[in-house]
Amino acid sequence: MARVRQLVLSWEAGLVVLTVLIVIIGQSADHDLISSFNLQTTALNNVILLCLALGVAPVIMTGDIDLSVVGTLALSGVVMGDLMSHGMATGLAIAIGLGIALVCGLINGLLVVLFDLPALAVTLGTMGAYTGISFLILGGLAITTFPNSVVSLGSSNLTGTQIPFCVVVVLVIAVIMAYLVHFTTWGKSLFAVGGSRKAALFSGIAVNRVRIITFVISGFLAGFAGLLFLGNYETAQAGMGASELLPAITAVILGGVSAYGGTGTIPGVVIAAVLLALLQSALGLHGFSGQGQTMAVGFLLIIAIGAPPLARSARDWWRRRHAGVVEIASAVTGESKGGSAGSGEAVRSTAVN
Amino acid sequence: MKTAMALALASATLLPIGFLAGSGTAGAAAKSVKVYMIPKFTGIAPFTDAAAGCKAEGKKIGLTCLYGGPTTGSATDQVNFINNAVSAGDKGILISNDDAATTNPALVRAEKHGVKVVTFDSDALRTGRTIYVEGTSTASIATTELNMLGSQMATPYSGSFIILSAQATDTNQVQWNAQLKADLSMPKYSKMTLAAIINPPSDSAADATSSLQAAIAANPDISGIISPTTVGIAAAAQYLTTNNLCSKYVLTGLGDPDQMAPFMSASNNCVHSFALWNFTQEGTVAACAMKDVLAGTLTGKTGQTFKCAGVKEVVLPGQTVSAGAAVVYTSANVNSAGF
Repeated sequence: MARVRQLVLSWEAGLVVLTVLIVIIGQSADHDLISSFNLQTTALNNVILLCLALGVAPVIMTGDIDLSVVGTLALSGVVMGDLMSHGMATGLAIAIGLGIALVCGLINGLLVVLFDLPALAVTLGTMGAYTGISFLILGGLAITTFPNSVVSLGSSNLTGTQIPFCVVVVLVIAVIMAYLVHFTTWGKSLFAVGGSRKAALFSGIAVNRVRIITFVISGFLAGFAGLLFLGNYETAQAGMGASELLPAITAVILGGVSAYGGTGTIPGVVIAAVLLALLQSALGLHGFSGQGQTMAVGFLLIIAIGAPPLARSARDWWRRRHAGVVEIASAVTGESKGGSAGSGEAVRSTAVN
Repeated sequence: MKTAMALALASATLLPIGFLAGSGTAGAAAKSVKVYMIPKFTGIAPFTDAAAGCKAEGKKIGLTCLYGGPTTGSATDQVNFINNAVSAGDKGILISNDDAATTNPALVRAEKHGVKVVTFDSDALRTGRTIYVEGTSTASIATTELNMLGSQMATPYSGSFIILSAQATDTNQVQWNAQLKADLSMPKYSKMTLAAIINPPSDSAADATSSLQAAIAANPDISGIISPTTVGIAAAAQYLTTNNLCSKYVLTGLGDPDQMAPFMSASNNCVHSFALWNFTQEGTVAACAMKDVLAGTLTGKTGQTFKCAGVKEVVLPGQTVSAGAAVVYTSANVNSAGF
């Protein structure tokens, strides 16, 4: 029973309720929100940011951040596109592109961990560096023809359905990530490291290794997002995907991953991405311009960050009001040691009652 | 606590979607056909002008021109707007592409759903649209830029210059700069040397300024700057003014009259001439083209003609229609531009 209660009241359940609300209100306002074309194109246009978010989430869970994912996306995407356009076998080109993405992630991890540098600064720098290399390779050119297999991966549907293939692929990645994060030793270490690096170190966790691995996974998934980008937009271009960074991080934070590390779930991130995609689509369908959509997402993010502390204060206030007897007991013992403002207030309020 | 968290989150999301019920798109006139105009990004004068042209002409010819787009130059964000327009049942899409390639699959998908696409200002790939309405021709821009710069140089048509361009992937600037480079081999311009083409990392005034600063340091011998972007030329004019460099460099390019007027006044004459086509006119011609494309009378064949605001427009090779010639602005006409 307690488990059910916990499930119903969880952050993820809140996100699901909101998503349903958006669908109901959006659909009754415009009727086109859950048409198959709209769902399909909305999914196609958000699957890349979800792929990035799945990679960045574990990094943020450990209390780090990886801004360089869009640089990695651009670099590996451009390399794959360039190699394919020069006639290299598709599989080999993809392998090289993903390999580069792995190395990009590894470089981030090593710089952050070995030199003990702040992840924000390091990945801000490598974001510029990786994007810059993509400009060196292609300049202002764009590659727009790709092998059919790549285009199919990025934009075709599962046979006989309207469900884009890449959406299924990224959901499978989400399941794998959920398993890794929530059911393996490495996954449990993430939260320990995010909670307190020192405590994690003293309890025998290989903190450095855990952190480096998160960056490598983040890099790899960014490279995979680059591959999806090629198939989805049929374009390889320097700086591609740059506008996906903020939405991806928004999905992670809105999904319940604490910006300070230590908490969060992969299902939460997935649901948040779906919520953001549907909210944006609903607002767009109703004729809201880019500014309106950006503002709505901004509001959501601030509230997502602000909600936990707000909820905590509300809970404290509630307890003080309704558990006066217990508070008095603690207030009495507390007062002998100097007392706190909070418990003093509890005494006053019970006295009035 | 979780309950309270969920409640707080709920109220936050309901805030924006609550708007859904109230505001939004104004109701279209009964028989008017809805078309959606997507700029590269919203909030700058040229695109607002193009939208005004489309809306005004649209009223006369039975089109309701809806207008919306991303807040920053992003082709993937434009795709959201393309998809929304199709889902919302709009009959046509008028789009200025942030880059030609990235939006194309979405435009092709829209066409498969029966939506007609007319590009304006910045083209898509040919598979993604029926007609392209260009502000003015690439050739006209390149020669106008070279003439404006050359005629102002200390020794006319002689000296070294740089191009302060847009971000490297912007289709228009890439084409214009390539044409300009080719034109330099003409005898008239043979003594003019292009020292460098500068591509700032983004189309923002801040990046244009810092890129210009670096370029001036790296190319001490230049005497001229051509900036074929409204953002770049305004940023450059501001930079030269602030650093008292107006007398040292000739600055010209493509600019917005409203933005450039302060640099062409009696107290600050940093810039003597710049050019631009008429964006309102571009939006007007785009609306006319869309109407005939929807009617099926305009298919993009070279030589086809259509009437727009009393003027006969002709389809040029490449399914292209030119909205007019580039207009050169000097202190004499910058304040009377009227758009």
